[in-house]
Amino acid sequence: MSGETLLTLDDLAIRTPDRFLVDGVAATVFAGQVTAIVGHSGSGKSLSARACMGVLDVSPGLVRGVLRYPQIDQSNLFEGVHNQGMRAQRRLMRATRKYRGGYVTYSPQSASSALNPGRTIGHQLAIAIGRRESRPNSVITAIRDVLAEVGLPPRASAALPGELSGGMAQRAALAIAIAPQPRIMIADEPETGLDPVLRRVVNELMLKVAEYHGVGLMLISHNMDTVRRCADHVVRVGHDAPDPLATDTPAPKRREAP
Amino acid sequence: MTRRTNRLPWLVVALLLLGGLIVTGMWAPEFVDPPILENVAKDEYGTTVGGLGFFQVPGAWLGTNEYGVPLHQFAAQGASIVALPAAIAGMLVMALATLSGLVRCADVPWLDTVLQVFGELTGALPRMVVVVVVSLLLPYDYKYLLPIALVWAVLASPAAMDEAAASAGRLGGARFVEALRAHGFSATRIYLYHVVWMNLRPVIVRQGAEVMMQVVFLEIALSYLALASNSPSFTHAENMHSWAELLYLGYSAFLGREMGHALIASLILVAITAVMAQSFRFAARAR
Repeated sequence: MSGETLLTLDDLAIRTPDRFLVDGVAATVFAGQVTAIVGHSGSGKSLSARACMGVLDVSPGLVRGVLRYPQIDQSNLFEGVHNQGMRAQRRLMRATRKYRGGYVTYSPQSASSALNPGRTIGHQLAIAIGRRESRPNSVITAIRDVLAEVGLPPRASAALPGELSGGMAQRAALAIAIAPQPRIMIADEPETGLDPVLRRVVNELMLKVAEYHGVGLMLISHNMDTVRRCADHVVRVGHDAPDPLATDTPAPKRREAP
Repeated sequence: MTRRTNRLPWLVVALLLLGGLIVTGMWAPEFVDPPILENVAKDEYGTTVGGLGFFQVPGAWLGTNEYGVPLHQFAAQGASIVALPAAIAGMLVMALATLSGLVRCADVPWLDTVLQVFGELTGALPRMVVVVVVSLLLPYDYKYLLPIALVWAVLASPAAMDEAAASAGRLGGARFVEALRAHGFSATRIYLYHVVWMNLRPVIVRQGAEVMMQVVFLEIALSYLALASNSPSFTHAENMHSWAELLYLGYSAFLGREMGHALIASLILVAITAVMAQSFRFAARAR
C-alpha cells in the first residue's frame, strides 16, 4: 500500500484577470508519505492545495493543469474546465464533492475554521465518521477510538470547540480530518497559532497518524524546520520559494515525538 | 466541559404558548357578550363598584368587567389582535437576520454593503416616533396591527442583522464555508444546516422571539394610549378589545374599584408573552 500514487497534479496554472496566482505547480502524493508544499505567504500554497480537491473559486481561474486520483480513476478531473470560467469551476466542485471528506480530507489553517463552534466535538466526529466507506458498528466506539488516536480523552466528545485549549482544538481538528479514513489528508499550516512545543507535538502526531493509516499527507507550510523534519517530497510554489534543503545541517527526518 | 442542558422542555413550553395564543385568537368571538348586570359587584346601596372576580360567574373564569361582560372574551379578542402580526413580525426579523448572516459567510461584499447601509439608515430612526407617524398615516377605517408590527420589525432588524453578521464573522465567515466545502458538504447543507441551523439559530430565534414580544407590548401601549385619551385605537376595530383594556380596567383597582382580577389577568397575559419569548430563546440555545 505504501508508495502508491494517490494524487497527481501537473502544470497547474490559475489566474485572475490581472496576474497568475500560481503557474506550473506540480505535485504528487504517495500513500504513507509526506509531500510538503512550501512557499512564501501569498505564493499560492493553499490555492494549489484547494485545487487538489477540485475547489476553485477564482475568476477566470484555471488556465492549465491536470489533476488525477489514480486510485479511483485515471481521467483528468480538470478536463473541460480550462479557461471556462466560474460556471465550469462550480461544475468541477460539484463533481469532486464525493471525493472531499472521504478520499481526501482537509485540515484548514486554524482549528477554529475546521471546528463548528455550535456543535460538540462528538457530533462533528459522528458526521465525519458517517463519510467512511464502511460504517462502523458503533459510532460511539468509533468516536472514542479516533479521540484516543489523537490523544484526547473520551469526555472531549461532549465539549464545544470553544471549551478546548488551542492544542486540544488542533488535535480535535486532526481527529475530524482522519475520522473518515481518507487516503489523502491535506494539512494547511496545522501549526499556525501554536507555541513551538505544541507545534512539534501536533506535527509528530499528524505524521504518526498518517503513517499508521497509510495516508498520503500533503503538508502546507512555510516553516522550513518542519518541512526538513517531516517531508519525503517537497514542492516549491512561487519564484522565490525557499529551499528547505539549502542548509548546512543534514535534514533530521521524522524524529520521535517528545 | 459544561453539562449539556435539555432544550426540549423549553421548546415544548414555547410552542404550547405560541399555539395557545394563535388558537385562542382564532377562536375569539367577533363581538363580546352583552352586559349582564347580575355579573357585577355592588355596594350595600346597590351601586356598581366593579366586576366579579375569577370563577365567581359560571362561564366567566377571568371574572367580569363593571358591566358584567366576561373578561376572558377580552383576553381572546386581545390574542386575536396580536397573535399573527407578532408572529409575522418575528419571522420577518428572523429572515433579515438570516440573510445578513448568510451574506457575511457567502462573502458577497456588495450585498453586505447594501445590508449595512440599510441597517445604518433604519437603525438611526427613532422607533416609537416612526411607529406613531405610521399609525397616524394609516387610513381611518384601516385598523390592523400588522402594518405597524411590520414597521416595528424593520426598525428592530438592524440589531438582529448586526448580531447575526457578527456571529457569522466569528465563525470565520468565508473561511468557515471554505473549510466545510473542503469536507465535501454541498452548498445547501453548508449554508442551511451548518451556518444557519447550527450556529446562527440561537441569535436568530432570540431576536425573532424578542420582536414578537415587543410587538405585543407595543400593541398594549398603543391601545392603552388610545383608551387613556378616549380615542379610537390604531390597532383594532371598535368591536375588539385589546389586552390594554384589561390593564386599563385593572388600573381602576387602585382607585377603589373591585377590578383587581382584571389587573392580575392582564399581568398574567403579559407574563405569558414574556415566558414564551424566553422559552424560545432557551430552546434555541447552542447546548
